[in-house]
Amino acid sequence: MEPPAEAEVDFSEVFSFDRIGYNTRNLNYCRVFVAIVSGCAAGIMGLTGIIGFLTFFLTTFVLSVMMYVKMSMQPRPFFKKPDEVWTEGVMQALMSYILFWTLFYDIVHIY
Amino acid sequence: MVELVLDPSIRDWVLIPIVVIMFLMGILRNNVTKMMRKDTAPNPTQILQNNQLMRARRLRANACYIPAASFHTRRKVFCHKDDGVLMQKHEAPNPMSMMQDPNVMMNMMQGNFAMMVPQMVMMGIVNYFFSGFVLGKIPFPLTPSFKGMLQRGINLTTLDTAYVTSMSWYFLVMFGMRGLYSIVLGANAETDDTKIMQQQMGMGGQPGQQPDMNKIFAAEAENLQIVEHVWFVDAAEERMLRGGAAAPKTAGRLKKD
Repeated sequence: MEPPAEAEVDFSEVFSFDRIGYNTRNLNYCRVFVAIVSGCAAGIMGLTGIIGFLTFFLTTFVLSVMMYVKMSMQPRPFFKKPDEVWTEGVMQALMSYILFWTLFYDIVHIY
Repeated sequence: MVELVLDPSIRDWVLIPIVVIMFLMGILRNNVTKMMRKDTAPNPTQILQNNQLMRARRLRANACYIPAASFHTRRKVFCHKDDGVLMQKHEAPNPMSMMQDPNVMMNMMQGNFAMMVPQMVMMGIVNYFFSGFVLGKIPFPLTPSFKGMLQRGINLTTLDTAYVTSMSWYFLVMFGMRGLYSIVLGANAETDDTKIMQQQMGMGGQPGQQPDMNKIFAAEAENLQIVEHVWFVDAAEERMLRGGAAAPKTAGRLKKD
């Protein structure tokens, strides 16, 4: 996550950076947690190929929707950019997902 | 596609141990980095300058919320030709002085060592002990061009690309573990190399080098000079009659109206 460029940041909105950082950290935490759990599940169920990736995006999407509802559909005050609720930390979570998916798939189905 | 039958002892003695070792290594590395890090006392003049800059920026951004007289007084404090805060001359930082300061160099070296050494050692160990056999299968298909990377040391052209050797398993674990560390060690863990790299890049060019405050101050003073002050309260009743539209966001946007 690179810091947003100076031009994009609206200085009129007074951000509390540690609060926003806290929100982002917690969101990342949830994302990785969901990714690991769903990775284990996908591996044990023996999903392969595109279905596995779809499972990841589905669970991530469900998490995002739940977060969105928890913020009562108003992500604006909680994040610097509203779409961070949907995109923040997905790539990192995907790596964790692939790791646990592969690990459990190998343990259960290959040997 | 023929399924390969792999020996279960490969799983027990290679696949799982690599994951466990990498995980423990990451925790060890985190603790070692924490121990070795010395908190350098922040430079007071630098903090002073940063705070002055932040104040000027805030004044510029929120100019519409204070009366014109107050704004002009504040602007004068910042931009007065002779004794404005932003017009003071600061000595330009000498880039060589940073390099000669042994503490800075030591900290940087130690940080890099704590990052690099365990990785090199792990890679060596994995490559030395566990090379030359298929370790597992990734559950998604890949194009054959990944063969050289994923199946290093195995020269079977007909083998499905999804079967991987220890090296690629190592990389998979390395990338995937970051998320796990952030859960286990707390989010401010020192394990995320890329984030640290980006932070250093964001500080402008080389890590640890101070920016030239003179230039930044001059630019900020110029920006402050061209702010056209419009007081937010001036048109308040009009806005209220129009139906209480939201407050204008910035001085810049006010100008456009």
